[in-house]
Amino acid sequence: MRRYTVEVNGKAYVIDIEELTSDRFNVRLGDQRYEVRLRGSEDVAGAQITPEVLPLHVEGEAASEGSAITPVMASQHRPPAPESMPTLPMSRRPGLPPQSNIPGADFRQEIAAPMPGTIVTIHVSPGDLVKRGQTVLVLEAMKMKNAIKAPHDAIVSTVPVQAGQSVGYGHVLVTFQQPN
Amino acid sequence: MDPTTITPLVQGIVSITPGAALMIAVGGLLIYLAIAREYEPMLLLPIGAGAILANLPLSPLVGPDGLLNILYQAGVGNELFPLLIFVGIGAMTDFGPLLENPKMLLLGAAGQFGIFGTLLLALLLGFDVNEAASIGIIGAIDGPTSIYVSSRLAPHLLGPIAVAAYSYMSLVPVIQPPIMRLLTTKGERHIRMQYTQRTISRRTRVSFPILVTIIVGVLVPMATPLIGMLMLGNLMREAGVVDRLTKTSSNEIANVVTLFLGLAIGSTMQAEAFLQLDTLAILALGIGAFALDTAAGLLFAKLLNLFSRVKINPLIGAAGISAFPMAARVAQKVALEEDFENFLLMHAMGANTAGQIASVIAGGVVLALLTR
Repeated sequence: MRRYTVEVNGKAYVIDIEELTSDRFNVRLGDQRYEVRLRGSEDVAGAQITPEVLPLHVEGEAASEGSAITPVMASQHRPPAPESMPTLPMSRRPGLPPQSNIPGADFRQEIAAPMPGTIVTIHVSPGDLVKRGQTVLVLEAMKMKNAIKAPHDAIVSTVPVQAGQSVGYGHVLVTFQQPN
Repeated sequence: MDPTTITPLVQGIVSITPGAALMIAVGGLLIYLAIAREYEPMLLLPIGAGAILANLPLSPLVGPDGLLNILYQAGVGNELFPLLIFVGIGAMTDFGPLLENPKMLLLGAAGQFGIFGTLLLALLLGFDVNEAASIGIIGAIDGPTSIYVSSRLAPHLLGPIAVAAYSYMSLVPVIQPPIMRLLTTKGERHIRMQYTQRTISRRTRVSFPILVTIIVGVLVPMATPLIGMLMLGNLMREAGVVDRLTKTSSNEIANVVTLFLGLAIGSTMQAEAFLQLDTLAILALGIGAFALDTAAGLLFAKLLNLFSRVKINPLIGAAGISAFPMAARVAQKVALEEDFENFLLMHAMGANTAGQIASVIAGGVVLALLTR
């Protein structure tokens, strides 16, 4: 377990992060506990940490929300509640039901590069309807051509890369819309 | 006509022996594999050509001043050629994936199990210790290391060992996948591994080859020539200030030496030496070595999973051999067959480059145990 003590506006907060597996972490913030999944990790100074929250074991007051944990690191300058136990101000998304109840909650809006490489060919263009498992583009990494396939049926909204372009890990390759 | 005039004219035809004819056919087979199947064509084509040229009747090429003989004396008998090739390999290899995940070194070590397993099997089959060790080195799945070790320990077996090492290297995609599927469960093949991008500083990249050379050189002095040349190539690559040397090592020198090495190895495949029961035994043991390596890598990865909370996909264990980058690609392919979003290539590459280093060290260990 790793304990971070961060100071926001002169007030100290304690964040405990316990590594469950390589990409799952237990994050404890005061009396709130989140199980989060790490989508990417880069050693870049000043990078924003945006873990993906799984709606599995959310305890504490945020339980009814299952909200994204992103704002923890973002600049929330609301004055903290006047308690003796410092709790980080959490952003609220009123009215947002738990993620698992949203139809198509598993829908992934984008494909990010799974590893650094070069785009060889692009097989789709915006507006195309793709099926699950259909190759959308080919990424060459370590001299091996890798077919990147659609995770589900979707409509391609944008393809923000070009053939021949080098991409780093996590670079967005294709974005999707839900088909109706 | 006087028979003494005719004899010199037909001496070629009358000197053909059945063995030599068979070896010409073997040379033809290697050339066929190289051209039609693209099995390591860079090596098998010159080896096949060397075998044919050396087995033609009364071939002047293998005489004392013959080209093939000169090449053999110049670079195989004294291990020069494999070492020069290592400079080129080092210049071509990116150890980045290994530096990002140094734990992969363990898998590279496990992938060398076949060397020692095969060594024991060969001893049981009646080979002497030096021969058995040379055959075991096929389990490094590393052509230059096999040639280096066997030219020191058992030069008479060089031909079959080189042929086995190189042809099996190209058979990685055929031999490995069935073993991989047999020894792993579907669930294990589905394990996804988080790719953690770590920026490796230039200082680390440059220090790595120097430190590895010094550490390995002190621990296993017999491995110094191999690891030293491999890391010299890598140092030139990472230093970034000797681009011309790096390019020459990885292109011109590597290509020229590969041609010479192939021809010289082919010339050792003369009928008397090659057409032995031993050759068949070596080919069989070689494939066994390969299977053992693969199995050991997979099982070792599963063993690590028992103790580690961060699960690794055992498929990358099979990549802990020296055949680069085929082994890593095979691991990636098998994983993708099950789950088209499971990209573990970078981890497999880490294990694969670890396998390269480990096989060189294993070669040095074998030499240290057997030369005195």
